[in-house]
Amino acid sequence: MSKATDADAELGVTLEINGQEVQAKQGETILEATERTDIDIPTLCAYADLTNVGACRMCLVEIDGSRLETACTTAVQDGMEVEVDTDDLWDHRQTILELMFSEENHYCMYCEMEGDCELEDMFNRAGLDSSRFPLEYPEIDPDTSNEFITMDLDRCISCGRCIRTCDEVVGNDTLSFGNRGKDATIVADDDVPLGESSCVSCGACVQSCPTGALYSPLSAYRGREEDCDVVQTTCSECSMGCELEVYTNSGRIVKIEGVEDGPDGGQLCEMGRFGLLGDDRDRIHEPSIRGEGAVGVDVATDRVADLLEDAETVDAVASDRLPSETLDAFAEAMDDYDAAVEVPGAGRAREEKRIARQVAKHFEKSPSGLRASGPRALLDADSVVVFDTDIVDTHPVAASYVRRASKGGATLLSVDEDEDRFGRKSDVSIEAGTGLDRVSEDAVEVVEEGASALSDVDAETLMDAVPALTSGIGVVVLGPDVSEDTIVNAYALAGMTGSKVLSLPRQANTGTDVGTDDLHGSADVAYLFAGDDREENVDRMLDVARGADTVIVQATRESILTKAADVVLPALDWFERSGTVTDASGADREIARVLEPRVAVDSDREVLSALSEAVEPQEVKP
Amino acid sequence: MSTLLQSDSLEEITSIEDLEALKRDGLDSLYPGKTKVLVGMSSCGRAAGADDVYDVLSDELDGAENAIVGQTGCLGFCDREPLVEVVEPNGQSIIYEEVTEDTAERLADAITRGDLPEGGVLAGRLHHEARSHDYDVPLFDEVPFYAPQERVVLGNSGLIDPEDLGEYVARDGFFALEEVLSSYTPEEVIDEVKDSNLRGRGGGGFPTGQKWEFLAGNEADEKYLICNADEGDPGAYMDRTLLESDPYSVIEGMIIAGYATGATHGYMYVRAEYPLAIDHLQNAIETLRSVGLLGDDILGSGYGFDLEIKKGAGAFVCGEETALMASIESERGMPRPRPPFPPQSGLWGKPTNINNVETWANVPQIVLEGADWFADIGTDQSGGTKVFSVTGDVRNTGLVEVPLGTELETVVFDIGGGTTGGDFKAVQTGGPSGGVIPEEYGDTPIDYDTLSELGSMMGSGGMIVIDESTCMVDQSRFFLDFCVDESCGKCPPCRYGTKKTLQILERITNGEGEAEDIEELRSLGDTMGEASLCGLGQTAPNPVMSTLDYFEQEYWAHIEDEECPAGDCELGGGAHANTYKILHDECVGCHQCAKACPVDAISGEQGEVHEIDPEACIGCGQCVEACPLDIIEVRGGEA
Repeated sequence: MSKATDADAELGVTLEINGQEVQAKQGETILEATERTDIDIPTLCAYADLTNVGACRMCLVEIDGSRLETACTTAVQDGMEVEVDTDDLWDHRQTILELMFSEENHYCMYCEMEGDCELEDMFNRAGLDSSRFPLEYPEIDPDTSNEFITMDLDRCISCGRCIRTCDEVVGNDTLSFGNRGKDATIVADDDVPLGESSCVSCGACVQSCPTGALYSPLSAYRGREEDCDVVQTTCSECSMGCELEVYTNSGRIVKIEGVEDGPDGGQLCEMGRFGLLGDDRDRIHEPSIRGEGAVGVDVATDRVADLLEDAETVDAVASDRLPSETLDAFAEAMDDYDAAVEVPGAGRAREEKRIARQVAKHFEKSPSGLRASGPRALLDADSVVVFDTDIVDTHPVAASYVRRASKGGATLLSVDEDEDRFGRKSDVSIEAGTGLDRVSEDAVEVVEEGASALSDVDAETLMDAVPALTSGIGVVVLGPDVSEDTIVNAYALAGMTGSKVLSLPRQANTGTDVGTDDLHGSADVAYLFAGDDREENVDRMLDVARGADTVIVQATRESILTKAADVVLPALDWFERSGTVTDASGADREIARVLEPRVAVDSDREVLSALSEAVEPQEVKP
Repeated sequence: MSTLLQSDSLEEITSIEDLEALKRDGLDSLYPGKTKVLVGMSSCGRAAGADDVYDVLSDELDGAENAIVGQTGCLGFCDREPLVEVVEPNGQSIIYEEVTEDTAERLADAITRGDLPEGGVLAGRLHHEARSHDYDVPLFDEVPFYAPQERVVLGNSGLIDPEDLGEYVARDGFFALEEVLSSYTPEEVIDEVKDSNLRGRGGGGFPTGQKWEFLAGNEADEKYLICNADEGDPGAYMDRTLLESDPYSVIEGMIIAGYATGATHGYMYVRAEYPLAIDHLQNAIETLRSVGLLGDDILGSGYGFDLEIKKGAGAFVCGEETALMASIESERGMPRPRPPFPPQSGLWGKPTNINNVETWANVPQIVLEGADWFADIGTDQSGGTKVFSVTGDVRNTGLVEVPLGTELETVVFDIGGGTTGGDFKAVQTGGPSGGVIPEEYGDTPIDYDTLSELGSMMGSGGMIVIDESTCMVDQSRFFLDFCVDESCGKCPPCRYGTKKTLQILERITNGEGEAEDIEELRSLGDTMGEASLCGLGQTAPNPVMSTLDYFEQEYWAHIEDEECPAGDCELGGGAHANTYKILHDECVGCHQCAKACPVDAISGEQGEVHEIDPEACIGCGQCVEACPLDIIEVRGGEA
């Protein structure tokens, strides 16, 4: 049943499938063995890395001329003879499919998944276009209570892929089977509407559903996959840097999926999968100047260059969602005008590096030895400490790794000022300031003085926590809203216990070196490169704008910020940009252009280089 | 219950001497030197009124110097409950049948006088050292119901107080365990069980010793034993009765297996609908813990074993071993594909062995009497006896234990006393997973392999006798209806195949069958049988397939002639076609019918006109009996 076949295992088993000799690894299933061949065993309930359960019966194969077993759950054996396509097997598959056709609603022409449906493909493969049984499926009203996910259960084949995805991949356990027999169905929590359930709307179940039983209304009826162009890029919603597979049709983004064989295992969150689809803020197509209205790009850049040139002091702030190349160009252009440049969040990375160095020295380790390899290190953790459980909202994919670790038996300690968002999954919930987050602060001081000086600490909590961290692999997670003290604590705790720190800053691009200047505070001109930042994320820029005499905003969409601006320059949206960002694990991820820009500029960097070029040679001031 | 020995007064048992001391006390309790009045208090007895009988006897004999009243389990003849056995000090006894409160009162009088009546007698019995009987009553072994039986597993049932450890020990209980722990190696225990030819009594018939050997051969930090007491076949109650009547024997069997296989923890998976069995098991476990026969270092051997009860929440599929383990793990009771088999990866991924209640109960007897003795009782392929619950169109219903290899006809005619409503037609074994064996194979010796060859199966021991008054299509319809309710829904062949099959059978018994239906039934049955995930789905078509094999002409009679040869089903206008209706004009709303209805099919508030929901009604006729005004009409066939 386990998928955990050692990747390096030798192909030591020889069996025969459909008369063809197949080499396989000890312990892998017949289905896995065929993945290296052109033999295609039909499946419906097997999916990606989910546990195989043998439910759909499509992969029944005949073994050694007698018994029938499911290829997805039966391990290979030397000398085994397997037949996949006998008439008997296809008779059974046909009967099963006809039963589904009769007992479930599989009117393809009305279904969102038509053309992309695995069940439809299976009907075709089995040579079926009708059922010998009368159509008797129950009419079940679709559950539309969740704005991103519709459950249309009369199209459900009860393969359980969504349940296993919610359980094994997302770690959320929202979905399960309810009722039994012919009435068995998928239920959310205790059979409540999905929109009222514990569902986090990550959409992983939608991606895993083989039929039209789970779909997103945001993508529904907007084109089959074969009609779409697909581009892989990187999500900019947080520092996880998840890979996106973006489907476009007729110049519109219609669907976003995770990349199953990519580094994130195909997982996305509500923001990445659905939030990016539905940005209904008004787009800024061309530059404008207060009092003059819309102007050409050249007019606007000239005006901005003049304003910057004339200013004694310039404060420049750029969104941390922007690619490194764009941020570098921004810093360069602003440097030409002697501006003070800030990228919110950039300071944290620098600060963390400093702290890691100090702590590492203390524990005689290398700074990089204190840091986790990346968010997926959580999946192998034996114990996890989370400072700031709001990662449930800000880094939902990382939060699901935490839940999976906890479900897999890891000890989970949560430290938060408010509610512990991991709830019952936490083994210990600690209110910030009362215990664990003070442990290591003290620890730093007392490493030399001895453990008895940990007086200020809830000793019981410490004793509970530290042994868990010291045995096996420990990961200390730093959420987005943590104080500098907490960062010190986290690194010290890691140093003390041999654990690793996983830092999850809010911003998408954590690797930028630019933007760590101190701003003037009330400058003559504020240049605010907001890009497609969400309104809730532009507080810092608003502050800067309020202190400045003249405000220049380079933005993708209209907001309170652009309303306050004297000059507005257009900017690209996330799907029009290209470049690289550095994710939380320090890896560079590629941002690829999904759609051609439909604004007056072709790239953000073009605007910035125009500003650079406009600057007159620096006069040396006396 | 009044017992001479209270469990809380028991001393710890750490040696054979302690065990022998308890045996002496137990014998004193079994045979107290005065008249012992035993009331059969298993569920079958209680359902027939044994509680009231017990109360009357206790009251009447309260303070009597020459008699004492006690409880015991089931004596097997459920048809004749309540059964009361009066054992005189010299060891001769009389078993009275169908005892009522009135007859109990008279019986108490007679006991006080010392002169037992010879009416209302089922049999006389000789206990302990008694060799002859003074009364003019047939002896137990001569009564046709009991004569062909051999009570190995049921030896203590209806004799000892199931809540009294001493009485179990008086019957050599735990001496098998003592012998094993003191003088057997684990391998020798397994060899003994293998030599006995004991096969799994849950239905599959897998050799028990071999199963244990698999578990013993798998090293792990923890291994589990499970007793499968999720008995759920309609008409089967062997396991319930055994747990109610002799719980210690099952536990002793498990401890012996634990020693043999290296398992140290056990689970009793008992369906929650068996409250009395659970009570008796719980009492037994607590008592055994208090005397040290469960826990660390049992009988000074260094070996430790403990056990807990897990109540099943009412799903037939949880009798399937992988679903059962999922249920213990607090997961939804859905089967998993095998392999891995439980001895490789079972409960919580640890090596596990699962045996049925009756299998466990055989183990102490094999140790005490020897593998050869046990093997000699049965056939060459399977040793020992099998307990059956005999029901259906048969005169004597009850719990029957016969040596494997006994002919079916012996059970139907000698033990069962023949059919009730026409010529003998078939026997249905294996419940919803089994099939029918027609009359022409009546001389078939009962064994796992012979029944399988005939398209049925041993099953856990349900045996339904069918005579000419029962419609075979309706019989299949009944079992498919059961399977539709009990399918877990995980795999589509079972989830939908059972439903479609039931629909076709309903069509046929309603007189709306079509010629293609027969082929459809076979096709569906083939796919369900071959392609379903677990035993439930794989065997669900068996009742249909086997009746098609032997009684296809009955199906055709329904389809082509539009008649039911048995005059039984909806089409035949028989008992199963009855509809019950309350005459509204005359209903006074006394609510008696609603109270009597076992399935809550009758609605209506007190004082209002009541109504029977024909969908929910199971046609049992309880309401007709309960109605004081006789205004519930039965339409269709005969009541």
